[in-house]
Amino acid sequence: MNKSGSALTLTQHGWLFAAAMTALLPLLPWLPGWLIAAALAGLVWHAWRVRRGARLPSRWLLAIFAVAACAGVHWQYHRLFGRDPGLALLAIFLSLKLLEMRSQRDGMTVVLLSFFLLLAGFFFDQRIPAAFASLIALIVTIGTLIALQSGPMRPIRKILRTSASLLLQALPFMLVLFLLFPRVQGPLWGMPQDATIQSTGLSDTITPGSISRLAQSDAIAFRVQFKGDIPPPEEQYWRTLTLSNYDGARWAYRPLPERTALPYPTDGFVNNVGIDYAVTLEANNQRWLPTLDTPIQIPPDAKANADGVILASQPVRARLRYDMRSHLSLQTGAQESPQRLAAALRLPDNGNPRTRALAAEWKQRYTNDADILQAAEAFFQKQQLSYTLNPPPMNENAIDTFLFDEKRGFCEHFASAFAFALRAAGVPARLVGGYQGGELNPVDGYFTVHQYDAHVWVEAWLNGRGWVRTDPTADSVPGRIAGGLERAVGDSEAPLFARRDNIWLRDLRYRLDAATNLWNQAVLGFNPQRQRDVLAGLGMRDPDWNTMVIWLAALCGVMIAILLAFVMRPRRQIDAAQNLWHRAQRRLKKLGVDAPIWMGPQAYAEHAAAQLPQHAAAIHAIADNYIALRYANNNTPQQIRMLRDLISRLP
Amino acid sequence: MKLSLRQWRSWGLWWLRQRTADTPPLILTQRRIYVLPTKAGLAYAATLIVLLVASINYNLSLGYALTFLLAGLGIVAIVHAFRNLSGLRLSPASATSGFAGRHIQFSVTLGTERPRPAVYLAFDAGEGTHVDLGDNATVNISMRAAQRGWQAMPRLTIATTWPLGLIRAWSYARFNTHCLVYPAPADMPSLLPLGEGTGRRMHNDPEDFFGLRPHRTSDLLQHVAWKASARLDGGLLSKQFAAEHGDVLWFDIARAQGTTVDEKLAVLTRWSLDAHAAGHSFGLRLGSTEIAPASDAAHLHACLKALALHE
Repeated sequence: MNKSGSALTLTQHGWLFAAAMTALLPLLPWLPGWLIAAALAGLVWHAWRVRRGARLPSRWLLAIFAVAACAGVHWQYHRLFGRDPGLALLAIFLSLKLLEMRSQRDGMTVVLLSFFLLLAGFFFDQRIPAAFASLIALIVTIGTLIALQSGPMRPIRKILRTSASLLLQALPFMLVLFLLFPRVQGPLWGMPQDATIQSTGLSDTITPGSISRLAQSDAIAFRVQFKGDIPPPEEQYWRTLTLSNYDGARWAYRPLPERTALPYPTDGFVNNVGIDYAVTLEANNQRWLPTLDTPIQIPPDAKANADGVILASQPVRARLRYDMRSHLSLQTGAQESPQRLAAALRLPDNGNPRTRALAAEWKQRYTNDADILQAAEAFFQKQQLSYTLNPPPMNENAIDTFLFDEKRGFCEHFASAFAFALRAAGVPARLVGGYQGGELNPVDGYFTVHQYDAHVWVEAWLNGRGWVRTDPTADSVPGRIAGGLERAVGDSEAPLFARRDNIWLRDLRYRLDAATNLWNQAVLGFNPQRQRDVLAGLGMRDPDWNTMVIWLAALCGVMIAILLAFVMRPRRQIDAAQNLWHRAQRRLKKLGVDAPIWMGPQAYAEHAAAQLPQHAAAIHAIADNYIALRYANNNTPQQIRMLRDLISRLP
Repeated sequence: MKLSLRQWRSWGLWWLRQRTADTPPLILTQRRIYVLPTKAGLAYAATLIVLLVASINYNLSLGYALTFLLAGLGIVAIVHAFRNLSGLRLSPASATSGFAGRHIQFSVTLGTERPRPAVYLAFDAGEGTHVDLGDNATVNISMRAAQRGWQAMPRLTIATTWPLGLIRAWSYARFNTHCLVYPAPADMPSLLPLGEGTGRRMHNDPEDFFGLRPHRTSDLLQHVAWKASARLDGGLLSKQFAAEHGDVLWFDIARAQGTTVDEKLAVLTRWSLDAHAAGHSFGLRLGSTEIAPASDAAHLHACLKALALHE
């Protein structure tokens, strides 16, 4: 049947218009303004022309539009290929295609372009609301395919219901394919340059104010699933990176050689006292993988540097899940090389004379580095420093100003001053950037660490003990560690989301967060590794490509058989009439009618009426109704209801 | 390649089915229903492959989900296309005769116990009919008749691309039904022959228009049929007027213009139609066959049938 040639009706134009709109709408935030305006103008012009039944714009005009749009895209992105210009071009082509639609084949093209746009939307947003928006767009688009079928005009609601019903029937196939289709880890070819993400998180330098800025963000840094008990809050130090280069103003990460083995011995811990957990790290475009205190295992594809920092092989561009094992009291760096210790003592020549004088005093008084560390901790407690998200600006001799004059700061001020003082006193010290604390979501048992949990502390090197963690913030403001940010800075200063007094808001947040996490773990995080894990959980040990395809084919075959049985099942209404007739016969039998049930309704009614003359009218009414239902093509729900009423009126 | 006995047998059955008529009512079962993707379905499949590759390359979990949902939809479309035909009962109903070169219609009764949207029926050569079956229905399928005589009903294709236009399910029906095709009436102004033998003169009574004949110089100028003449290549036509009612005309193949039998039959058909339209009684002589003069519709049909089946 040659349908590609048949012209589109006004209703079909309307459907295609709606399909294009639902596919385009969710993409609006990601498209440049001029393009949206141009596309909308084109669509409105088109709608007006179609309503008036005007002739299609000439191909020349459309070609000029297309060239102009391509030029505009090139002007915007400086190229025509790649994700963002590709999306812009798709949006333009969809609008132009609507302008030149003539036949049902053009309609099909519009539908297929809409599919591409739906997929393109997932580049930018794969969260639950986006998935819902796409589902609605899909119902409209599939409805459009139904509306493109020739035949009499069908009501919109009926088409949408058919579309939703078809999608519902396709759902089991989707689930089986999602689970069993052999996954390949992308990219197949180079990821385009613009496929990177913008995100908040720790950076490779720390300056006064960088962490307090991060504390304003309620974005999730990572989620942790502990296999055993959750360590107490004072042990929840998520070590992420070390910062050992100090230039007087900022502490910077120093790249070190990376190895596949940890820089400290882990024997004796690996199999007994480690804490097992899995981290799901949000994409942050950095390579550091946060670990709980001292890791004693490196995830596959990751490496460790000499400071014990764990690094992924690539910047983390997509949510990454990795299994870890840590230890909370492992000695590290006991045999540190003199060069590395010398580097951990390096200070600029000038600046902060008061702190230097203080350090010199400690150095004179104590011979032992451990005593100097204790003296420093005691000093920080004695100074009554206060913790604030809004520290005053400190430029010249910032550490002196913080310790002796302003006495207010955020964790980077505390840590920076503490490490400076230790180095000035001859104790090797470095800053550690990471997160402290976190929050257990009681809904799904995941431990969530937000960006506002970002923290900086100090590691000092003591002879015979190696690197020792010391947290000057904890020494000065114990509430920060025990009660989190809000306890430390007070309700008035903490951002709304970090406050924990509003119980229903917190509960809602927990639930939303658990749903998001489930979505992230089960749907978005379903990669080849997770697929292997899930299939192993279902009893398929190390399934290879072949096994998966065989299972897939077998399951699809079974589902097709079930679907066929479902759609080919006899119509219920006819059965309903017959069931009611049988019910009437049972009732009459109880009343004493003695007639074979295989008799035709007419004959049966005659028999029954003769035996129960007092119900003759009712019996004939029932038989007539049944005959009308079965044989007179009068099978309506009202008719069925009437028959049921008549039968229930029998004694 | 050697075919097994079983394969030979199934091929033989298929061959037989291609040539033998189906006994009505024909119920479409899975053995008779063929299912293949349409062009749109192939484009859809190609789109899915591109979507899958993009999902793999960009690790788009929802991209996978979309691709797999659409793939599942393709499978669902196969099932529904098949379902839309499966169990459909067909039986031939009637045939509407027509003239060669024009359309004739075969009617087919479709029996269904459930609604079947967008069912398409067509003969191999001929535009088809789209129907949304809600209930049992009789559908007329037309075709262009090639030549006079009995036209057997050609193979009927019953197809559907419901619900998405991606998958086409179809089946064939061959019924042993025939439709009478009358000869195409000659494409010329009617020049009804005069009565028998010597031919009585027609009274050119203006009250009773009868037909047209070539103009003779003796004809009155007001009897020239100007409009009809304009359609003619050359020469003029004059209106002829009937004599009194009850004049009997005899149409004889021996007296009809034309070189071949078919040309003569065409002229006779034209005469019969025009005479019937004008309400005249006429008789038909085709060699040994002779149909007595009459003027009713049954008579016209009998004449046309005789013309259609003339050797």
